[in-house]
Amino acid sequence: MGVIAQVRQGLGIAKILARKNEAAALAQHVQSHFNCALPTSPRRTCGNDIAVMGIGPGSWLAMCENGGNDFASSLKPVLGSFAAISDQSDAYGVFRLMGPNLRAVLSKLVPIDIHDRAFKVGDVAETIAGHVGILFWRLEDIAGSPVFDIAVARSFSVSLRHTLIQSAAEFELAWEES
Amino acid sequence: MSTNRIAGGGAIDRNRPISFTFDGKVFAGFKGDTLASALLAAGVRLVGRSFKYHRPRGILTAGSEEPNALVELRSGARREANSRATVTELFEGLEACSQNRWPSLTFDLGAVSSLLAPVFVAGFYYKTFMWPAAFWEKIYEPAIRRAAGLGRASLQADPDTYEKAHAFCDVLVIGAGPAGLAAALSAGRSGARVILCDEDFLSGGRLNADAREIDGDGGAVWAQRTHAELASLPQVRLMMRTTVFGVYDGNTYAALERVSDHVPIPAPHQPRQRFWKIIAKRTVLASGAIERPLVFGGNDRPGVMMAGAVRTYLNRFNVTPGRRIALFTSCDDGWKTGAALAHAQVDVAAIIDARNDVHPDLLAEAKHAHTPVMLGAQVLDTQSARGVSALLVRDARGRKLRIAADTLAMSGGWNPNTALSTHLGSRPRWSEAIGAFVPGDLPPFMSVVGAAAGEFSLAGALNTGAAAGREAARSVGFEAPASREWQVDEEQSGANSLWIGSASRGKAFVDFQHDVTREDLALAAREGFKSAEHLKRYTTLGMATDQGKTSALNGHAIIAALTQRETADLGTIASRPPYTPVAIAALAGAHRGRDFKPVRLTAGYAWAQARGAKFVEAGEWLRAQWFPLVGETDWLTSVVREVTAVRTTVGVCDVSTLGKIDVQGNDAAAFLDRIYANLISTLAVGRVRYGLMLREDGMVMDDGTVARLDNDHYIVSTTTANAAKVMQHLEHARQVLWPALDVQVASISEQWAQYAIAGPRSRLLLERLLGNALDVSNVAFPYLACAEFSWQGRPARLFRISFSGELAYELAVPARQGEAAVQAIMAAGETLDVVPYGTEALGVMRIEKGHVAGNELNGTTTAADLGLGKLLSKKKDFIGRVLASRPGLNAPDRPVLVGVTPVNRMTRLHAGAHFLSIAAQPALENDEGFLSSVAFSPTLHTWIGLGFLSRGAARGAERIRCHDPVRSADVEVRVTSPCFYDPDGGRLKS
Repeated sequence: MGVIAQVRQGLGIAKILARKNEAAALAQHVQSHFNCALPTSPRRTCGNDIAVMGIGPGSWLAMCENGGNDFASSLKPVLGSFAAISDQSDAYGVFRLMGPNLRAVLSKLVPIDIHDRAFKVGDVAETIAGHVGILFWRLEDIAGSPVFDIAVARSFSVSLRHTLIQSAAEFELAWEES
Repeated sequence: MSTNRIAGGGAIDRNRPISFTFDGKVFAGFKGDTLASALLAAGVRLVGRSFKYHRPRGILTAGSEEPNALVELRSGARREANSRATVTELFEGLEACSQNRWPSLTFDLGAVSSLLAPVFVAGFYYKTFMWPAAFWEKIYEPAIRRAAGLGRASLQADPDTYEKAHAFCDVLVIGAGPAGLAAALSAGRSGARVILCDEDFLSGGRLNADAREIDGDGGAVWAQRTHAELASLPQVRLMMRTTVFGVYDGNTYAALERVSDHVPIPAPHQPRQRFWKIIAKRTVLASGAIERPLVFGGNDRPGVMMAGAVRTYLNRFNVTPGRRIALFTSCDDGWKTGAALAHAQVDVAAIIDARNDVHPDLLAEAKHAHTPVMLGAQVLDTQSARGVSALLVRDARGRKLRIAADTLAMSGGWNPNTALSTHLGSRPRWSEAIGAFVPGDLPPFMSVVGAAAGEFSLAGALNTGAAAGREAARSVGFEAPASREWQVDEEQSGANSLWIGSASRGKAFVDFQHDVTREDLALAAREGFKSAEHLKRYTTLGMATDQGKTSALNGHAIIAALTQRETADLGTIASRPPYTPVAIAALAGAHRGRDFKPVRLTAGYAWAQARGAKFVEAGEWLRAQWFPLVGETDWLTSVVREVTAVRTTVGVCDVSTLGKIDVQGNDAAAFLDRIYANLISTLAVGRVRYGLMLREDGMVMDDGTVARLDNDHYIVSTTTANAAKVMQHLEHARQVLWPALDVQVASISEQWAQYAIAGPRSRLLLERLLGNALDVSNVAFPYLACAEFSWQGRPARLFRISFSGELAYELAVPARQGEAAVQAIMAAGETLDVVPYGTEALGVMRIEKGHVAGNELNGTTTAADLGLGKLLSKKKDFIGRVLASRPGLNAPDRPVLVGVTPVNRMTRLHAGAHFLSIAAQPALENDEGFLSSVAFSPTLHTWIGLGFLSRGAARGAERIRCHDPVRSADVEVRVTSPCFYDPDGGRLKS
């Protein structure tokens, strides 16, 4: 099997936008509450039950496995004084992609360099895939093969899924609804 | 079996015979052949007819520069025209056909046009079709279009697929000849990421065409060994059958990989071709050189061939193009062909050199091979029926001789292949040393090596290649191990001067593909077209699909001589992408047909589809347009039913596509006051207000609602069309205009699925739906209220707003719950006769209410034009305030929004019709505005329309005309208020 795609279900996703002059305090609170260093570049860092990705100046996307819509509301009491929190749990379709031929497939989709030397574990990029805007990031390799997550605006996920299936057809694609 | 196949160790696999057809006749070749080599092996010399004069043409070259041997390949939907036989890889069952001939290749009626040759001179079109002017469209243009073009398109949908892909590297090497292989090897050994591209299916370049030695091995063997080592390096990617066809800014290179052109049908899931965008930190251009033809009478006849190509066919394909071959040259390299032919024991009729003096070694070698030599001589003409049979030669003493030969190999020297070096705008530079143009200023981070740089020796190619590859890798941080120099067999640095000849009998062709002759150039020079660029356009020299690869320099040198200038001073033309023709399909990739653009689906899409909805494209969105019931066959019936249901019971409409923006921060209220023309900061928490935003130029940008969820938290809604634009506008205002404000904006359009629930029974429906989750009584939740609450364990939002003019709400739920929510709404409304309605019914009801939408918010209307002038706040500043006060935007005769109804209420109105007063002539000066939106109102049982009428506010009840010259309609209408339904809004608040 050249590529395996899994649909990630139940994610809690929240956008965190620092309030004016509160970025430092925000980073402090994210560190103390979640044991997570708030990235200041397009990187993904992990803490207790949370992963945070830098997606722009003063702007982050936080994720929590099985967090659902409660995740965003749970952030408000902790971080609300330092950041605007908006629930984005439903705003994205998130696919996990892995397999030995994944880079060959991704090279048909994304116009950025995803070579091991150029796009490291924990790197995050906001780019396009087949005319659709995506956010994607690299996770730890599994069995020597790269692993990437792609998040796409939910309304586009059927289109992106179609493009993905087309692009991966030559390597055999296994689609898993997890 | 082949008549012209000879023994030898070329790059064909004699154990793998291949059968193919040409013009329906079956031939045989071998794996490794091109169509051209297999045709030559079979003794086929005539392969096509020329563009303008339908002259019989054969095979001139052995590469992608081929101007003559253009054929149609394959059949049916896969038929493709103008394929170069010289680069067409032979495969089992290949069907090839000659083109531009009728009824047959050997008997072509079109050839009569060559009798008219004196008419078809340079500038023919400009001169001939100028008069009478009226003839152009009706007679000349159709006639020219019929005559133009070579092959025929299949006119069927292409059954194959195409792909686009992206590649990145430290060092891109273009060309896998000796220089390119050496460059890739030294860069690859350093550990740098290297991509090596070559248009051929075999690496080695001229090493496959010439019998050379490197380190004691044959050059072709060295090439394969080097290829194998490159293939073993993990950071090196070898891309054969891949043409780098364009150089662009930002170190970007475009390349076309012919994935399946060499097989009958692409393997499953394999594209026919793949279009690569390559980003390279450094590039080594090793594109080799292209041999120049000589310009003499009859130089286009089948059997006249480039001398270098003759060696390619001999050594690589083990094919001799003829049995008795004469050689006409003006440079030393041509003599190598004589030697190669003699070595292959092919009869060499004569070596004819235009020069009076040549190197004694050349003479000695010819003498040793018993080859007759004529110095200071030139070929004046060729004689032939369907291929060369004899030459007319003038010797040094002026005597004319006839030499029998079935093939004439010619060489006017070699031109460095500079094309890719000029794509970013630089011009090639003349080199006196080699009598040719070499690359001028190079694109950033590109170096050029080997023959492409004018370094024609093998040792030079290997050494410059290796050094450039090493340097390219080093400059991006990779150190290559030192390598020893390669030992090559002895070679003379051959003289390569430019010679353009003078005398000839019969047509002497400069540009074979476009049939441009020496006489055409002389005429152009007489008529004053003397610059390289003017010459190109006037004579069409170099404007064919081969971009003048074999012809440009000869043409420019001839013009220089005719106008007493130096070729160096005249200069030459720059090439443009693509280097060789590229199919549009490859550029489109997978984005064609239904995949032309992505589609956005709302959470309720599957539900609407299951209900049989008809969908309409709204930008990228697919929205339910109406929901036909069984038995409803026309849209109007369905729409009338849906509108009636909303006006009398209750309807539900998916409004998820509208833009939704979350605005937070201590300064959110101040920020929105500056964004919107009306006051927002006075809005109470838990309330919604209509908002109108202007562009900086004072025109209306968008409208929507603003809901205040908390002191520092608003939800802004936008139209579907402007969702992204408004988001951009807000980000610009936040980041650039007022960075000091504490405001955060986030798009939440994708987070929430939203449904409008509208109609007199909508409150009843919501009570059943929400139960105790929220009190929706008129007291607790009045018109323009909003609330956040928890419903079925998840967050939900309710807004009491109305687009339809009825008692109405919009319910927002997380998108993952969207489908379940609409099903729950339908279930709750079942006994209330709830009906789903689409965008058409939505549109009818907003026109009945006089609400403006995209047709009215068209970028040319002001708030006052829309009847919303009173919204412009005088208490604050806002975007667009200053420019909205321009006199022109406040002129009293500006067309403003009105309603119209036809005097005969069942007469159909058409949007786009122009307003005229009753007696006015239909003329532009009488135009008083136009109709922007129309609908049949089932509520009022009449057609109604919204439009912009000059001084419309003061023309109540006046009768005017809607004149529609496009649909030949002229309808008398009565001017009314734009609000046709419930003007005091009682139903909203009920």
